[in-house]
Amino acid sequence: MRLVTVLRGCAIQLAAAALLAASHASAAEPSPGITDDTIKIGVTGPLTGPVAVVGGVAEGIRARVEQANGEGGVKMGDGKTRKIELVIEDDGLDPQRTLANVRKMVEKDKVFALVGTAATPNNLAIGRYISQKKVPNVFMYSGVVALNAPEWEVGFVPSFSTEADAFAEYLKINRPDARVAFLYLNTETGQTFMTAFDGAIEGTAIRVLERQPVTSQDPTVETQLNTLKASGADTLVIIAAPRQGGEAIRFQSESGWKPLTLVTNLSSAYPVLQSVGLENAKGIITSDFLKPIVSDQKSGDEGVDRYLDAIKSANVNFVFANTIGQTGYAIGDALIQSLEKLKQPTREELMKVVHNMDGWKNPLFFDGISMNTKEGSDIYPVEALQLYQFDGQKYIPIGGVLEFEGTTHE
Amino acid sequence: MSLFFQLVTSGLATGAIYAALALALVLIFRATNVVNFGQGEMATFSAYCTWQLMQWGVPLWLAVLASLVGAFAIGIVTFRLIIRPMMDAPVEATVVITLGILVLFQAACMWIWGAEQLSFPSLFPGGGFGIGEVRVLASAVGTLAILLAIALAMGFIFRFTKLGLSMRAAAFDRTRSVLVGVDVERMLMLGWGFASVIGALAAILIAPRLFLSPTMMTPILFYALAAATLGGWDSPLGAIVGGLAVGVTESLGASYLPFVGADMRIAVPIALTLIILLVKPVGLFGSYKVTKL
Repeated sequence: MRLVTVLRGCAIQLAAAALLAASHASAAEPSPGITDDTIKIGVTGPLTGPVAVVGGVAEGIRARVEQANGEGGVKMGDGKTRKIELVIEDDGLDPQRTLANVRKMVEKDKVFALVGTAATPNNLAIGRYISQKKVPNVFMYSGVVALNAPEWEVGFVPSFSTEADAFAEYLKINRPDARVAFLYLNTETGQTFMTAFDGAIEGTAIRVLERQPVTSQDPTVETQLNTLKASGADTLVIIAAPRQGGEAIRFQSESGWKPLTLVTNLSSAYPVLQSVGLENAKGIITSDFLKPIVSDQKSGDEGVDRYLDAIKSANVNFVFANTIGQTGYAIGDALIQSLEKLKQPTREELMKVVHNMDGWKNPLFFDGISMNTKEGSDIYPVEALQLYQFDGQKYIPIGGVLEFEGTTHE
Repeated sequence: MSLFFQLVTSGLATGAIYAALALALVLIFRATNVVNFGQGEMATFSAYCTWQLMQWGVPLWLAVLASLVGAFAIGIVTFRLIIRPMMDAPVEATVVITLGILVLFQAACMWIWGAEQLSFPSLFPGGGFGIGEVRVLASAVGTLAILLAIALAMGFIFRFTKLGLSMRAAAFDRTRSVLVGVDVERMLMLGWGFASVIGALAAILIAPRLFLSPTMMTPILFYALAAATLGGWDSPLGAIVGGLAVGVTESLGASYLPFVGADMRIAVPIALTLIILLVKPVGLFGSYKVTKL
């Protein structure tokens, strides 16, 4: 008799538990990688190898995340406060290693999402896999529009085509009959940039006289630069990795050739100019969506000061003026903002949030630039740029913010 | 036409960079019969030491001297710790070990100093001078002069001094060198030390042009290997001529051969090296080994 009662009690409890589980599931079965007090996020990027500088993205993300964890965690949209656990893997910028890292992070570490995955070929390499596994790949560090998993991806930095539009815009106003020479990185990056630039100058008096390719492995680019100089161009556009870009900046100053020099933000960061010699970089023009941070002393700008605190306590491996590291920090901040808005702990919900950003602010963005996306049509959060000219000491903003919202193109 | 001369001039300037590393590779090969793939990265490490000393306020020349002494020690320590225990291993194993040295020193630089490129002061006055419309860099001329002096000194030491001859003997045939009273281990150790010094000097000469970074030397290695092969692995002077030839053919090939372009530019010097090896298998200045029966 007693036994039966116990059994019946058990049965009722079991049924109740089953019912509870079922109702819970219909609300939102948490995706892998998230518990009541932690959420696991994966980062892969080149921490070593010839372009290890790009590893600054991962370091910047880490700084922002450690800051949030140090403040108790992120109060997420479902009311629970969670700490972020980062899994950071090195891929040396090799797309195959990126894929291997992502497999490991998804299947073994069980991360909830990937953030800040660096470089275009690497993001392309994992597109199919993340679509199959339905893993969000958010705030990619890649400026190319040819993506292959748009449902599970969201970009971050402006496309190179947006930067090309900004440069063309500047020339149209300030040098309408420019004769242009390109030093371009011979990858998707450079191709995207030039195609967009060519489109933007159609119907103007601007002409491209010469184009010379460069790879990030070239020991020197003197040969290309001499050919560009001999073309008779009066405007030099540099789309190259920091070492080759730095050499090109030095060349235009040393060689007696004095073109108007436009440098994409691949190689216009302050530390690159320092390695070149600040006086050699005087007059160059670049574009960015970040505020210029010129000193590691408190500036009174709350966003910048918090950034300086964060990189100091995280003991990052880049200097404060490194824009790649700053971008990483800004990506970390965007991640935290998305989590704060995450009402249900699922991957689908995260994609919904990041595909519907409406004017989100970012502590490191130039005033007037915000993040906007639109589900189904726009997965590029930053589509505005500010032009800067280097005065030998620091970057000075020139003109107003150039707005290209919703116009990112191939 | 002035573009042609400018391309030749910058080819020579770039060639001097390749020659610098090739010289260190040839020295270690001559002294120990090993091609050290990690030579460039060991050199980068020494260049970082120079930079660090200068950050601490040591004047340039003193910092360079101190780093060169340090480089000698680094060469010897590397030999004692890494190479000597593997001395009897087959040559393939040694090759893998020197690749390990490459990775080790690169990682050490990155760990200590970070990945960002740094400016490195030149031993020579900045800028250059013009001959007609052609611009010549003072640093390229200076680098070449120093390299030539080193190559001549190396040639002299290897050919005419007891030390040089003993080092060659030790590299050539360890067993028999012992029989004629050569302290083989000591000679190999000195070979590593000297090669490390020449490498460090090369890095110090190159760094102002390439910017100091942990991977500064990595892309140079391929060109330097081509240069050493072209010039002949046992000739210091050959390394310099080889380096310059590689630099110039690369520069002209990339500009004047439309199907090559800047992407494929390394193919030109490699093709040149192949052709020369077909005609003269020991390289331009290499000497044939005579085997008497």
